[in-house]
Amino acid sequence: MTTRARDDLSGTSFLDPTVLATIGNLELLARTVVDGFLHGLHRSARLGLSMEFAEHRPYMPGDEIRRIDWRVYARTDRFYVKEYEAETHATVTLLLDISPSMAYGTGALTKLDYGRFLTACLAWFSARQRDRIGLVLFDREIVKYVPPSTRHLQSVLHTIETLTPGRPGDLGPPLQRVAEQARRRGIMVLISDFYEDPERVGEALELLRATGADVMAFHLLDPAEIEFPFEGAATFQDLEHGERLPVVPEDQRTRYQDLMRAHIAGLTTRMASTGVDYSVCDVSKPLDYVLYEYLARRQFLRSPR
Amino acid sequence: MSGLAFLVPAFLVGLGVLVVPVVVHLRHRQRKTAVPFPSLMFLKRIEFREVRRQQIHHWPLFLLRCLAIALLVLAFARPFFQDREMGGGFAVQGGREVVILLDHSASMGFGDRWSRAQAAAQEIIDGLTAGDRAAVVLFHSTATVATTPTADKALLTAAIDEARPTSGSTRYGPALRAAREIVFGTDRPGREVIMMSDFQRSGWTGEDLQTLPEGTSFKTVDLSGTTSDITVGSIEVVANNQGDRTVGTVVAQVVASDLREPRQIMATLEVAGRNTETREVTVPARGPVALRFDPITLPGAPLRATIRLETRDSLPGDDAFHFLAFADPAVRVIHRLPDGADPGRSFIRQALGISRQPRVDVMLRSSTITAADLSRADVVLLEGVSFPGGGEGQRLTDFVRAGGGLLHVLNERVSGAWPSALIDAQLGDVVDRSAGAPATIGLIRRDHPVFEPFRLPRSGDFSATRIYRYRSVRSDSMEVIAQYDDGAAALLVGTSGSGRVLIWSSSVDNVWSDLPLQPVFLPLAHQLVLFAAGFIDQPTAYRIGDVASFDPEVTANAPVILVSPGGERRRFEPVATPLSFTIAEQGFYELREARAGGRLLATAAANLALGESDLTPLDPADLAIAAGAPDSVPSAANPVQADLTVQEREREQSLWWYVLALVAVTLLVEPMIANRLTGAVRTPVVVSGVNQ
Repeated sequence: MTTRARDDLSGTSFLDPTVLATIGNLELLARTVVDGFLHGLHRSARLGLSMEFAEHRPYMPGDEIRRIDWRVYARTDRFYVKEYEAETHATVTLLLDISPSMAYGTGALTKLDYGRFLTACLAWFSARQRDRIGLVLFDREIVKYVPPSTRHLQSVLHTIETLTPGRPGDLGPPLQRVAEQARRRGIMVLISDFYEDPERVGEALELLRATGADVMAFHLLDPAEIEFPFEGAATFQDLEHGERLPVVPEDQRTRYQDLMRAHIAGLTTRMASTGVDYSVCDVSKPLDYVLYEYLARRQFLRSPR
Repeated sequence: MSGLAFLVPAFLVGLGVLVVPVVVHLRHRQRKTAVPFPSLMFLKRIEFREVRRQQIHHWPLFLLRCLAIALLVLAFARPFFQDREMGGGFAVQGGREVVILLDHSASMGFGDRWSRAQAAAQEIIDGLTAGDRAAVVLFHSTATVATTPTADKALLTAAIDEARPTSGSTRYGPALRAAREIVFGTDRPGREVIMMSDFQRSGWTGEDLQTLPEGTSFKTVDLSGTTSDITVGSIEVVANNQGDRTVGTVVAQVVASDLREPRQIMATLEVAGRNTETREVTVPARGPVALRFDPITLPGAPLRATIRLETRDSLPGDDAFHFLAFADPAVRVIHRLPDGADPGRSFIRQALGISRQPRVDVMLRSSTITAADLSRADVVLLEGVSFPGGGEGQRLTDFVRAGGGLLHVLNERVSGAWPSALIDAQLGDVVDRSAGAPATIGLIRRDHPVFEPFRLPRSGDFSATRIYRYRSVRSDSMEVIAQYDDGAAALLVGTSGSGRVLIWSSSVDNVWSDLPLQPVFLPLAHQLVLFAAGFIDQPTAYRIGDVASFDPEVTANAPVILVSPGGERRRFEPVATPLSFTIAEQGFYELREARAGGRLLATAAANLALGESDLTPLDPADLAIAAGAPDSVPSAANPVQADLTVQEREREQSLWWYVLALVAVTLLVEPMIANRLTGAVRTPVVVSGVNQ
């Protein structure tokens, strides 16, 4: 799927994180990214409009007379009314992890920066679909909450633009709070680095799934977290808790990579069992892949039920 | 590094700075600032040994840094080699290749020459320093590499100790050739050739010598000293037939060199191991004196004889002269003349009658040659008669094929043909050259044994001979060794079975040619007969270096053993050609049957080369010039050490400069290696706005 997305989105180099880092205005950035991305698709931007014809059905007493299709009456001498696709707007809730571990990066962007850009782009994209947009910034608790609304785009963008890294993270409590406050089904996009046990992550996401929402999880990772390319003995400090640990990277690299692969595999398995769409995102790579993932999921939700 | 010293050794304390890279690599490697990382949840699960952090990880970098510091300290300490040779060697980037040419000819046995030579060679070996190599070459008339170039002093010393003076004669050419080969292929920049010899003048007769490669130092150790000596220059055994026995008078030529005054010495003649006569002789200060002994009876078989001089000089090797005393066997010739011819008018018969060594006995026959005649003959001379037919011809053919000789002199009366069983030759008509200019002998093969006496220039003029008539002879199987000016054959030589056939195509009667009147006729007549008889002259004595040969009659049938005077035995398989070998030892060589208690077959006497007794030295500088090393040290038993102060020696060598250059190279390489080793580390971690 990733390969197909890259092929389809060729020419979208402006989505490169290095370029994005030079754009100061988050709204401008989101608009640039999303419009450029959609332009590259060569499709209609109105993908979310729910005004499309579905079928004809015989007229029933109580139906509005203006919904009768007179052209059909002229041909068949019977009364039929037009049925249209459900017209409800989707509710998109963006959940961004702002724990200190997200403030890490060895390239142009930290994971938190990447998460901000991604969240902004998804908000802008959803706004174009006339979806209701909500935002949750959380660490071990909910730090900021913007309720879903079609008019909250600017509020969402402002909140994202002004956020700062929070306290050590914990997925369980904030996600439980989000699940409790969810009023309707929709789409929930969770952006985090998931430095928790896959089982605990799965349990937290089950709470969201229990609301009937479609949940998408984007796992942000810096290349250094994947490859662990450090040289020379050094003391490593945990960004979450400040804990220090002497490390000889040359000796521990292989084992670390094994553990990281096992962690991702565990998350993949657990989320699949939960029904969550899970994707690993390398923050040194362009945003297009993430956007395509979202787009594909969004289209799936729009299809007739 | 033996011999390395320092001008300022106190700087070596600076080697303690080597602790710095050790500490840097062991302790300073851990960064002071902690490396931020999102989570340690995985790292906590990995076990690792703390001690690993105390190990040196980049050994090349560590060693390079240590080397840089050590070299820097070394440069400040101002190193130099204490040994001048070694320092000099370093100045030219390497050690020396030394070739010791040690003369072990017979003259080196004179007095204490040999012990002085060994001591001088040992000094040179002891003076070799690190980086030097030496080779020992022993030479007399040939050169032998006793040790190939080596730095092993024990090996070199053993080669010197094992060497002994030999009976060989001195020749400098082979020694220089061997030295040239050794130093030519060396990779050592310093090349020295040291020749130790008594530098006899006789060792170099002025011929071109092999020049040493350019830059080679040629040193000489002159071991010459007293040169007075008395020896036997030559002997002659004058044989006389007295009835049925032959007596010989031994005449020796005693030679003295560099005597201050005439000296009386005693001379003894030993024959077959017994003293036969002792005489007193007064040897003049310069020049030879003849010493004549009383006649002794000469048997057919050679007798071993020795003349011993009681000279009391320092070269005893040449005080004895060995020789063989024997009566040469006579060459028996059957001379066949036409019936009624006057034998007194035969020039060739008269020429053959004038002979002493070997003696030629001529038996005249004017009629049939009988089998009894042939049994007592070595050669049949047919002069002006046709080759006989019938039984006589067959007998003659068988005689030749069995090893006899035939000399056929042609004239107009000769007719018929030679039997094909004898020789393949056709007799032609008479060629008359009397009308115009007479024929001359235009071409002779001077390399043929027949013309051996005429080999040297101006040793025989055949061109004055006038030939008025001759018989045409054609043969495909015979060799033409003399031709007339028109290309016709004058003298043909061929073999038949084991025998030899010679045909002279003109007469020797002063009618068809004036050859009998020419000076070359007498020796030519002797040579023709001796060659036809297969005569091999056996010398009474050989000199060292001569090539001796034994008659194939004693070597053709069974394996033989040659026993040298020193007892060395060499086995030879049967050969049909004369057995030849080079005389290398003084004394008597014996040729025996190769079986237990084998019979003595032949003997050869060997003496020192006469040149070895001439101890007159040459100037070694002349030899150096001839060897292409004119600037070499003319005479030095051991190199003189220059008495330099340590400061001068250090300044001369300037090693610190090279060491400092090495430091610079090391410091250039260090960052490259360091960058290469640490290049894999990512850029510093970027952490933005961490809220701790």
